[in-house]
Amino acid sequence: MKKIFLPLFSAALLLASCTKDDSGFDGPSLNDIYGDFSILDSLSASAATVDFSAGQQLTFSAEFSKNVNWKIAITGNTSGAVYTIEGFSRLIDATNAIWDGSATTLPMFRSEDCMAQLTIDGEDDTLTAPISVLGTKVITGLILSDFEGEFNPGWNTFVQSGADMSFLITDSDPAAQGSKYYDMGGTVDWDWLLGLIDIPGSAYGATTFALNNNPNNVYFNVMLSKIPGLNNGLVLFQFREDDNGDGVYTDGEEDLFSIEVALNNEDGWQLISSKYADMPTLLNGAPVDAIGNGIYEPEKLIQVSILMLANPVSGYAQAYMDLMLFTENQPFKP
Amino acid sequence: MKKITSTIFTGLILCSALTIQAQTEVKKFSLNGSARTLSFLDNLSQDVEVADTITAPKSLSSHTLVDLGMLIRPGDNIAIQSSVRIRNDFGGFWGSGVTFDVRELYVKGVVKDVVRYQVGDVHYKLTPYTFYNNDSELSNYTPGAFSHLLDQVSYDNFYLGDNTWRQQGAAVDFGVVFNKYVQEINWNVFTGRVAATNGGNQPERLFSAANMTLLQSKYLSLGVNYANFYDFPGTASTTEQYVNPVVTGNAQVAYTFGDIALTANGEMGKSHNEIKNDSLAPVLDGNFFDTKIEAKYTPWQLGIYIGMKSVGADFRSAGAQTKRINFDGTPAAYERITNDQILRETTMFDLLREADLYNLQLQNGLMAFDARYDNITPYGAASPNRQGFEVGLNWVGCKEAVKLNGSYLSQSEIRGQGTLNLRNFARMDANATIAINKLLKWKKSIELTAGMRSDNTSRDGEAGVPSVELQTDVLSLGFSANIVSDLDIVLGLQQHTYAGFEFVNQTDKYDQIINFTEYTVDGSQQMIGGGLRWNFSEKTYLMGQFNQFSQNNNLVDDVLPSYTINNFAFIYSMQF
Repeated sequence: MKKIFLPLFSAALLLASCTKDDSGFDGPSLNDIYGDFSILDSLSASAATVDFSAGQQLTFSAEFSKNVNWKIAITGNTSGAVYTIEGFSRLIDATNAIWDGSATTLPMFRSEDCMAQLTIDGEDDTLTAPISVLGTKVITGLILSDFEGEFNPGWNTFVQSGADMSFLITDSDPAAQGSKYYDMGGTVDWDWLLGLIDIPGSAYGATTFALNNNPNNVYFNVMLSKIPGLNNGLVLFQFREDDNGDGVYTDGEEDLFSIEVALNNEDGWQLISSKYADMPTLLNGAPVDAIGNGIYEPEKLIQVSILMLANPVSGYAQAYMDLMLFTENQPFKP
Repeated sequence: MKKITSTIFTGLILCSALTIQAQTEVKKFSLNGSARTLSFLDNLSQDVEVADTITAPKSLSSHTLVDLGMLIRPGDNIAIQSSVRIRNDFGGFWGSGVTFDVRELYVKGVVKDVVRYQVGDVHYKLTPYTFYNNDSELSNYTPGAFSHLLDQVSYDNFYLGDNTWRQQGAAVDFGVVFNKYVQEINWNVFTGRVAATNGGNQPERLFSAANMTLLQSKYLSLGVNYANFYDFPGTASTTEQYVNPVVTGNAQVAYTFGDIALTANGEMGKSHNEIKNDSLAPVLDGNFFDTKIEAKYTPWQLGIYIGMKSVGADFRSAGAQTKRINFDGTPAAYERITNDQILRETTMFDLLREADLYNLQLQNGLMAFDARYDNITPYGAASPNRQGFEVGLNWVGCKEAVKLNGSYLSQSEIRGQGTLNLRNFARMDANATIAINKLLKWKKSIELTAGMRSDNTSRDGEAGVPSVELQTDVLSLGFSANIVSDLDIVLGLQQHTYAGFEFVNQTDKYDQIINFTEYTVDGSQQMIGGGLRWNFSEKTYLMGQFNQFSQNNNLVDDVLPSYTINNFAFIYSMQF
C-alpha cells in the first residue's frame, strides 16, 4: 500500500504541471480594445503594375499592432473609379485584401495609374501605394455594346425631329466604361418619345440572341447616367420574344417584357441589372398580364429596344448610356 | 466474485426510518414539520448630500408559516411523506396575505429488501464534479449570530447541509455484498425533471445521474459516475437538443502507518456540452482531475493535506456548476434608494435573509457571479479554467476545546480570457472554534469562533491593457455564551472588504465571451449584531437580535452611496 501513494501523487503533480491550453484565448482580444496602435508594416501592393486582362490580381499587405477596422480605397487617377476593401484584422494580406480590377461603384477602371489609400478607424495615419493598371479586367457576357467603337450597323434608330436632339456616341464627359458612351437627349413637346434604338438578334449573327434558356440565370445589365439638373428622363428597355418561332415578332400576340428606369435620383452613373425572369410586362409604365405565352424564354429573345422618353411638357431631357450586356448566373460586377 | 452470499440494501435517503421500522413498532401515521415567525424592522440611513425624500427609511415585515408534514406508512416497506406550507404575512386582511403551497411530496420504499426507491421530491448528490449543490458565497463565514437568518433561507430553498439538490423525479439504490476480493458494490440511479416543455422551443429538460461504487476493502474504493443534463428529444417542435453528459471516475486509498493515517483520493473525468441541430452553438469538450493526499497524526489530531487539480476551460457540468445565488436578482428590501432611485446591489445582508435571491433549479451554462464574493471558485470545485494546488492543516486540541483549520490555495487559469496572459489566484483561509468553557472547565457553554479568507486575483497587463488586481477579504467573529438557564447571548461580526480592478465577462446565449466589462471596486460591507436566544429545546428557540449593516463605497464616481441599515430581527423557530 505504501507504494500507491507516491506514484499517485507524482502523477497528479505531473498532470498539473503540464496542463496548458494553447488554443489562444476566450473572447475578443483585450489588446484590440486597450492596446496602443502602431503600424508594424506599411501598406504595400504585391506589384507596381498589374494587367487584369491577363488574369492577374493584386494583393495588399500591412501589419498593425492590434486588430483594427481598416479600409483600402483604390482610385483611378484618370477615370475616378474607386474600389474599396474593408476589414477588421491585425494583418492585411492575400486572405483579406485582393483586387481583381473591379470597381465598387461606377465608373470602371481603365488602363491608368491608380493610388491605393489605407485608412484606419480612429487613427490619423493614411498609407498609400501607387499602382499602374496595364489592362482592365475582362468583361464576360453577351455584350450588346460598350460604345467604344462605331455604331452597330445592325441596329435601327429613330430620333424625333425635336429641338437639341443628340443621339450619338461621344466622349464629352467621363464614361462609365472605357472612354465613350451613348448620349440620348433633346426636347420633344408633342410626344413622350425622344428617340429609340432597336437591336435585333440578327445584329449578332442569328435571329435570336445567344442566351441561356433559363430565365433565372440570365441578367440584363446596362449603365445609365443621370445628368445633373435633369430629373425627367425615362429610359424604357423592351425585350421581344419570338414565342412561336416564326422568325418575327408579332405585336399583340407574343411576349414583350420591359424595364423602365426613371432618372430622377442621384446624379451620375449607375448600373442597372435585372434578372430576366423578373422583367414585367408594362403598359404605360404599369404592370399588366403577359401578352404572349407568359413564359420567360431568353433563348427566344428576338429584339431589344431602348426608348428614351420624357414628359413632353417637362422640357429638355437627356441620359447617357454605356456598356450594355447580358450576363449569366449573376449580375454584372463592374 | 462467484459467490454472492447475500444482497443488502444500503441507503442514502430516509433509510433510517425504514430500518428502524424493522426493529420497532412504527406508527402508521405521524406528523412532522416546522414552524416559524420572522419579523424584521429596518431603518435605512444614507450618506448623501441631499436627503432622500423618496425612499421610506423604515420598513417592517413579518410572517408566520407552518410546514405541516404527514408521514404515512401504509405497509412495512413503503412510506408517503407530504408537507403543506401555510404562510401568513402580517397585515393581510381576512386571509388575503395567506398562501398555501405543497412543499414536499414523495413516496419511498424497499422492494424485496434489496432495492430502495423514492419517487417525487428527492434530495440527491454525487460528486463535486457531477452533481453537487455548492455552498453559497460567504456562507461558511457566517457567525452563529447571523446563521439563524441564513438557516431560514436555506430551509426555504431546500438547501440541506449535505450539499444535495432537491429534484423531482425518481431514485433507485441497491447493492450487493461479496465475500472475496470485493466487499460490496453499490449502485445509485436518479432521473429528475428540470423543466417542462413549452411545446415550441423548449423540450422537456431532464437530469439523470448514476453511480457505481466498489468498496474493495477498508483500503480501497473505486467509483464511476455519470450525469447528464439534457433535453428529451421529440417533446417540442424544435429539433434543437441540449446535452451535457459528464463521466467521471473516483478512487480513495487509505492506509495507516503506526500513528499516521494516510488518505489519498482523486477524481477525474470529462464533459461534453452541445446543442444538437444548432449550427451556431459551440461544442465544448472539457476534462478535469482532482487529487488530494492527507496525512493525520492521530495522537495530536493534527492533519495536513495537499491537493492538485486542473479543471479545463471547457469543462461544463450543470449538476455541479449551478450556483445557489442568482446574482442577476435584486433585493426586495430597499430595492431602489436615493432620490435617483438607484438599484441597490445585492449585499451579504440581503443574502442572509432573502430567499428569493437564491436559485432552486439546475441551470445550463455558467451563471453570473460577483467577483467580490468569490472570484476563485465561483462554481465550486468544478469551477472551469482553474489549475493549481492547495495545502492545508487542521488540528483539534486541548481536549477538543480548540479546533483550527487553515489552508492556502494557489491556482491559475488554463486558458486566457481576452489575452494570452493568465490570471493567478491565491487564497488563504483560516478558521478557529474555541470552547472557552472547556478550557476554563466551566459548565456553561461559552464559544468563540473566528474565520478569515483572503483572496487575490491578478493578471499582468500588457501594452495599454490594464492589469487585473483584485483583493477581497472576509473576516468573521462569533461569540455565544449561556447566561442563565436556557438563555444564550450571541454576538457576531462579519466584514467583507474588496478593492481592485477586474474584467467581467459578457457572454452570449451560448455562454461564449463576447466582450468584457471593466469592474472597479473599492469598498466594504460590515454586519455587526447581537441578541438573546431562549432555547426551548434543541430544535426550538426564540431569538431577538439587533444588527447593523453598513456598506461603504469609496469610489467617488460610483452613483450608489454608502448606507447603513439598522435591523431588529425577531425569530421564533420550531421543528417537530
